Order: sequence, then structure tokens, then C-alpha cells
Amino acid sequence: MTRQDVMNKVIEIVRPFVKDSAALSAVTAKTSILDDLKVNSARLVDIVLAFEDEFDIEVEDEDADRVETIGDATELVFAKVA
Amino acid sequence: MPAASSRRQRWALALQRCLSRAAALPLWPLALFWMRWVRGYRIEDLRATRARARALLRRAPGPLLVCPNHLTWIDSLLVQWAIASPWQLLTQFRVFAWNVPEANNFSHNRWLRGACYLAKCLPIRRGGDRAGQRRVLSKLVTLLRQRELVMLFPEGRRSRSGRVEASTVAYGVGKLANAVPGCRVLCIYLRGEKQQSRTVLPERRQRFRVRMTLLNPGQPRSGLRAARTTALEIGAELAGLEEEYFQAFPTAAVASSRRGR
Repeated sequence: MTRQDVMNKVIEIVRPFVKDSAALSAVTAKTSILDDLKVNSARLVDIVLAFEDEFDIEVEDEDADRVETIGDATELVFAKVA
Repeated sequence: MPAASSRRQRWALALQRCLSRAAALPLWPLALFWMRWVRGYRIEDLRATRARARALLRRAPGPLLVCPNHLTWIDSLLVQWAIASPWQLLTQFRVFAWNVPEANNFSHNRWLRGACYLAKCLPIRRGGDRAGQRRVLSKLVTLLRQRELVMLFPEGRRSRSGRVEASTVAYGVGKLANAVPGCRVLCIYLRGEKQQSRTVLPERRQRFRVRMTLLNPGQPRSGLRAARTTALEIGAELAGLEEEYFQAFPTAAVASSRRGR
């Protein structure tokens, strides 16, 4: 699985939680999940748990705390599935 | 979740506790006067409510999170009024819980900042920088380990629907409960008889009714999934108390649902 594949899946996982769906059309690795996509901070845990289920990985609390952008999420997952 | 607290942090918290206690002696009676006589609020069956709170606190002498529902800006004051008698300022200051208000609500005003410090508050910025949030969580863990009471609103904000929004509870509450072995959760449902949806202040001259229960999250758990499970348990418990409340006072439910239309 390439980094781009992971990023595409990450975006699909994040999509249902996004309040500003227009922002998804211009999403990049630097897009902030909370500030740009307007995801409720309380829902970030749901997103990380969805990563665990989708990619069959385990994410530590500390790693989850570092996820701020789509790129952070992609790198976190890619490091575990690669 | 930071595991160890520094000596500096413990000293800072001890100093805040000490100053808060000194300030509470004149300030808490003023707050009670304002609620009781200026605003005209009453807690229904206050004596029985406090007796119930005392009984539950006796069953939870260790770390205790207090988790109320959230409808107004002064919910923490009302909860405190309901569960603690003024005499406990002198005899059991632990019962006056630490609070975690949203920093943006008062950080612009130094007087408010000072008042919050003296009211055992540890402000946090929702959705703010993670390092700052971790520092606050670390302090809360330290306080719980010292068997202090910490009050957190699981919904994170005043309910938009006027009812407990159990599915949107902040998982940080579960994370905190799970971080301290033996931590129990005192779930409190408090609602004014005229309270139909969220407001800044409750309407004047009304009675507040209180329901409470003690939740034991059970075996020590860790990880995000466990935090979610615990947080949802707390949310479900509050929703259960709300259901009980509206079963006891069905007219309040009718008014509330009319308002929601």
C-alpha cells in the first residue's frame, strides 16, 4: 500500500466527521483536521479508532495526540502498515 | 496521559488549594447569597440531596470525578450548592471540587482569571494546543491521585438540544477516569423546573431538582477504545438520570419538548 493509498483511505474515514465538506475538495497533507475541516475535537478519537479498525493497527494515546493534519494521520498509519 | 507529576506542579496545586480555601470563606457565602436571595433559586429537598451526596461520597473515599449535565454557565455553582453545606468549607474542603472551565470564556479579563484561580479552576482551551491540554490533564490526574474531587462536564459544552447528549460526550472524561486506578464517577443530573434549553443564567425564582448516582468504571482500562467505553458509560448514566427526572416530573418533559419544536 502506497502513502497515497493510505491518504485516500484516511480522507474517506475522516469524511463523515467533516462539517465543512467543501474543504475536503482541496484537501492536502497540510490540511488541519480540526481547523480546516472543522471536525469536532471530541470526534478525533472516533477517527483514530476507525483507523485502527480499517487498517488493523493499534494506535497509542501519545501517537493519537500528535495527529493534527491529514498528513500526520497518513504518516501515523503508513508507519504501521508499511 | 502524563503519568508522573512534577514536584513544582504539586506545589503549585497545593498553593492554589490553600489560597482557594482562604478565599472561599468570604466568597462562597456571597455566592450562596447571590443564588438564593438575588436570583431566587432553591434546591428542592436540599437537606435530603446533601445527605444523599454525603452517603455517596462516603462510598467513594478515593479518587472521584464529578460529572454533571450542562445547561447553564453556573451549573458548577449550583451542583456545589446542592452537594456541599457551607460548614464543609471548614471541615471538608475536598467536597468543593476543582473545575475545568473553557479558558476563552474569561481569559480576556484578569479579574475573572483571578476569581477562577481562587475558585479551584484549571482552565483549558477546547480544541486548543495539545501540549496545554496535556498539562491540564496531568494536573487533574495529580489531583485525583490526591483524592481531590474534580468536576468535569462530559458533554463539554452546554447541551444544544436541552437534553443530555450522551453520544457526544468528550472522551477525555473517560481517559481521565481510566488514568487513575479506583477512580469513581459521581454522575449528577440537575435541572431547574423552568429550564427548557441552554441559557447563560437560569431564569430567576425557580427550584432545581437533583438526581445523582455513583458509577464505578470497573477494571482499570487503558487506550482510546477504553476511554470511549468509559465516556459513553458516563453519558448513558446521565441520560438515565434525565429519564428518571422526566418520569418524576412529566410536565417538565412536555414543556421541554414543546420548546424543542
